[in-house]
Amino acid sequence: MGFPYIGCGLGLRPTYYSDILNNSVDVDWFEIISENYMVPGGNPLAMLERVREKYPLVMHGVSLSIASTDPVNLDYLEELKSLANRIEPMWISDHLAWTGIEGVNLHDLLPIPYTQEALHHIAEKIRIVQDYLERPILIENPSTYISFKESEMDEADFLNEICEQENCSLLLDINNIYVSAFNHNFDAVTYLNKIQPANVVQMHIAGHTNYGTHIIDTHDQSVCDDVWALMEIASKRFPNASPMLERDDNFPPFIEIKSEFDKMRKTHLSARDRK
Amino acid sequence: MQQAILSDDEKIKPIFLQSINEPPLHSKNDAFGVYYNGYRRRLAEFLSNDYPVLRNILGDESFGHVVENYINICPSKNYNARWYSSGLVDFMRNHAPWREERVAIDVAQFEKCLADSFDAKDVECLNISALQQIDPHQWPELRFRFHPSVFLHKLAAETTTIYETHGENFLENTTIITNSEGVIFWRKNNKCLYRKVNDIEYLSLMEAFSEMKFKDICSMVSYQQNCNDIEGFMSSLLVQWFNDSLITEVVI
Repeated sequence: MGFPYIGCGLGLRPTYYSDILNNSVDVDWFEIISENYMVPGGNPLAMLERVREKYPLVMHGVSLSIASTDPVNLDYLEELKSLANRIEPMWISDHLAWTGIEGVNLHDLLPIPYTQEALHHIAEKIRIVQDYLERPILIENPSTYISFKESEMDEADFLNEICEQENCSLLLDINNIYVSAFNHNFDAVTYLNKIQPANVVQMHIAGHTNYGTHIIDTHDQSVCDDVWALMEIASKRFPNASPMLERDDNFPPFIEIKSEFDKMRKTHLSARDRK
Repeated sequence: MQQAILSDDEKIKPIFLQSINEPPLHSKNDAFGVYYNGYRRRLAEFLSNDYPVLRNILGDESFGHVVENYINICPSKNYNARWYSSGLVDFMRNHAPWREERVAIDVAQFEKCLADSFDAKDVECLNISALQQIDPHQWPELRFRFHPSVFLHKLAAETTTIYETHGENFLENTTIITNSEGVIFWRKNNKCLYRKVNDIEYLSLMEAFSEMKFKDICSMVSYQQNCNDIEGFMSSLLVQWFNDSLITEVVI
């Protein structure tokens, strides 16, 4: 596919702009939420350009709605492409999910049944998106809280098949695998072992909230021990995938998030070495 | 699934739940609730973040009521959550009981203008030297174009004070407000700014926004305000507009 290994990344969030811009932060690259910068102008884009001067960026979207039965939103794609042309990201990613139909947006990453019909539908839409953007994209496995009776295959097989059919790659979210494995009672390591290593370009790691009966992917906590352990396994299996730490709420001081990032880097690099 | 999330119709959800698997540790209803409740919580958070002073002056219960109604009546149609809350002001203007609450609507308008100004399109502004490069004989014919972040509104009197005090003591101090105050919002050096404008400046800005010629704005002001030194008065306004970085283009 030609995506390079770019080391370890951190989510760029406005609360950390001054820490990142006023200091020399030892982070290999930053990931942005694309939609936060798909605005006409002002401070978000000004900050982004300053960060871009110092670091490589990757773009991660939440509104592509690749699994929706609505047609691909070309206005959205045009804005996405325009942002990509502006900041020249290493790659662009979004989720295996839908956000709404008939023009409505629920601002959530909604699950799909893993059927052949869904696979062909999504593969076709990925083809349209990649043609429009003139670049391959990465698709991320979502956290899910329900599963459908009509599914004909598991998520790992579905993702492998999508990659094979449409020449796209994976952003494998390790926390999402853990969350979905708990919520649907499947084995997370078996899932990891089914994913074709050549397809995985990036990994996410994040915190979640465990309610005992289910886990929600909240990104508002530190990464838990089980997810660190899963990440170690993933880093051995996918040594060429660049890991990235996400945090989207309940932000700690930057020194704490940097410390967690350093732990991720150490865990990842030592697992790679031991492969 | 979308219908089941959006609708409060008790008949829709059970039909959807038939299509999903029983989760291992809790009920289908609870599992689906992550999406159903998450949708409402997420949109409510967007609104709460964008209208903190409105929330303060209405109180949590009343603000929750407007938010709940807005979410039920106006599902998001934009891919970017940033734009969802911008419809709240019009919603309040058009729906009872909020359409009677002018101060609340105008506080919401104030907060919306700051948000809209924040990420409006970038366009380079002119400084006063741009005017000095134009032959003074042509000045009467000049028309002005303003930065996309500039918004001008006539709001209920005291709206600016209510905003600046975060709505503290609003209920105690506020009676029915019938007077108005003009407020201009804009962005300079990526910072959102605002200031109150008097009636004459408000009128001048309104006419300047519609690209009325400078001489016609002067005539209008002269007619409205029995001013002896109209040239001096208008010149000082113009200098302020340039210094504030409001003007992006001067057209002859």
